[in-house]
Amino acid sequence: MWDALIITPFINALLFIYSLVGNFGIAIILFTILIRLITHPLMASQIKGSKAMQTLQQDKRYIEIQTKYKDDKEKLAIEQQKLMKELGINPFASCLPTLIQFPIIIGLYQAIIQAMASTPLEMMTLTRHIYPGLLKVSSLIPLNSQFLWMELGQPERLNIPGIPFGIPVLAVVVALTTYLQSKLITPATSSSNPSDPNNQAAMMGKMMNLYMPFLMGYMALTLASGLAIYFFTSNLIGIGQYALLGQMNLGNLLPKKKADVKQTVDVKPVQSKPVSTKPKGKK
Amino acid sequence: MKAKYITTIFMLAILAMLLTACGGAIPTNSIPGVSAAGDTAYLANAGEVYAIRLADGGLNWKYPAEKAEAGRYYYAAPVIAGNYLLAGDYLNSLHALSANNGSQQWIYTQAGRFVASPLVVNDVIVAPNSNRSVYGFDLNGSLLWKFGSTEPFWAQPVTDGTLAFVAGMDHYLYAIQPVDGSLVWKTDLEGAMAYPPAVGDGKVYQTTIASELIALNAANGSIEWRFKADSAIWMQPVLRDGILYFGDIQGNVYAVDEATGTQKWKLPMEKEPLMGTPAVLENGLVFSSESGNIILVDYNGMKQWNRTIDGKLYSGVVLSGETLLVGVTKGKVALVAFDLNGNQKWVYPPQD
Repeated sequence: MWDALIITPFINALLFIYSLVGNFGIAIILFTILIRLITHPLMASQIKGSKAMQTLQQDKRYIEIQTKYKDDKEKLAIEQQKLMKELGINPFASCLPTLIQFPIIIGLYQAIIQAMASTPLEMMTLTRHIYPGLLKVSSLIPLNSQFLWMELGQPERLNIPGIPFGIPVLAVVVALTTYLQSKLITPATSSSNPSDPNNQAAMMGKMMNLYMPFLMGYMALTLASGLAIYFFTSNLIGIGQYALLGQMNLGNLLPKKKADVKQTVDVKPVQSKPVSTKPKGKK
Repeated sequence: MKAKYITTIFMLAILAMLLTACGGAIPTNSIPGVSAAGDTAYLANAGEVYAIRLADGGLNWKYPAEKAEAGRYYYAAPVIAGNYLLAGDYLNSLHALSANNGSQQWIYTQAGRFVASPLVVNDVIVAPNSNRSVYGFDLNGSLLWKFGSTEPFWAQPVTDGTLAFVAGMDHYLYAIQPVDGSLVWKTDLEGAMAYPPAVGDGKVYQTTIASELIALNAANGSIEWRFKADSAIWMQPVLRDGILYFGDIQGNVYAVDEATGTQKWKLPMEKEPLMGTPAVLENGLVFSSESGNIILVDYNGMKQWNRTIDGKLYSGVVLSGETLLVGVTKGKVALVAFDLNGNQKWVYPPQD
């Protein structure tokens, strides 16, 4: 079911692009861009929803409710719902698009892995996914897995004469772009109170921002370089999507001033546009 | 603050450099390699090579003797070369082991993945590699020559006693001189080849994943005839008494006249994707299927018996004396031995 609905169509789309461009590295990049473009409306909706939730958490009334009903969870939930209804905020507006995007992104990842078949068994499995009406196995296989200095089915290393070991350029680039992306899409914190749930979320975000680049860098180091290219492309597209939606937080890359702490705000009911589309880094 | 970011980037770069040293290859999904010589079966599976007694399935030795090395996988069927057992790995090395005790005698580390087994002909080791090369070594592991191509080699070479025939994933079948690696001829067969050809009667018979069996003149590589099967062929054909036998991925077994390329008979077996080389018995051929079945098909195209193993079978069936050996993928055991009537003799590793 999963294979028939997601993996097989994705593999065929990827291989179709490959049959047009004749280079598997470029095919991975184009395919990643294509899928991210298709899912862009979902991502925009997710960003809009989470932005509305963040702004809600800075609202005076929301903070008052948190304090007032901190010992009565039931009442707190009712009052929160009431406030969200009043402001026109849908609590599922951010998580539903994420849930829909999730299988697509997983499918994209798995399709790339399967298409980079580097053993007979993997190749046989791949050929079974190919729609014979769309693609001709005999001319398609073997895939040209050479891209720049990389063998896409193998971990990437750049060998420079005189240096006795290969340099993992992609791993470093993936780690850096992951770090950049996480910094650029993280909203500025609104409270300095450590007991504030919003602040706790920001703390968790900070921890993620620290660990994710290492994790992604390690994955790019040890997994096939075709996947590292996907990680890198995906990071760049992610940054581009946030920039396009005006949600990129360039301020996170600049040194912070002490007076840069945000104040609470009065939120107006949501209309057809996002609550705020102005980049927070800009003053 | 600027210094902080520079430090972070520097630390990331250093960490990546350090991880290079311990970062292994990606996990692989491949097919166990099985072979036999004398009274011993050899199995290359995942991180180890095993020498197993054919008589009772007991372990003689394994390599490495201690813990398997992370990221180093062995899947190419080990091959005897003089007193050595040759085992290629997926971490770019060819190992020559003592056939008696599995101790390493020499190792060549400058290649790519060894998906296919080497061929030993006239004291020359002809070793195809995934790095688009075929290597020639003497029996002491000294590199004699290297032959380059445009795509990986996944099939074990075969010989007619003079030339080595090497099937490439680049659609070309190559005939090379084992002594110096020089090219005698090459022919484009318009399909990738992951299995070796059969050789006989002055011809080479090659299957392709483009669903064809093709007969070529062994001396000059000219194509004599082509036979189109119903689906992709992931199997070495078997030549016996003027008939070629092979199966395809849809489960059809074919008998084709070797002189003319015309079909003698076809046995369809639904849901039995056939892969690997069949074993040749007096009364028929033993095929293994992905669905876990061992099937004896007689030379008239009739199914004689069927045995089922828990797991997937891609390695084909190896015959050694009175024993049939089958490598198992995704099963509880890695190797199963049967007698010639299909009765199970033992499994490895032994089960309670």
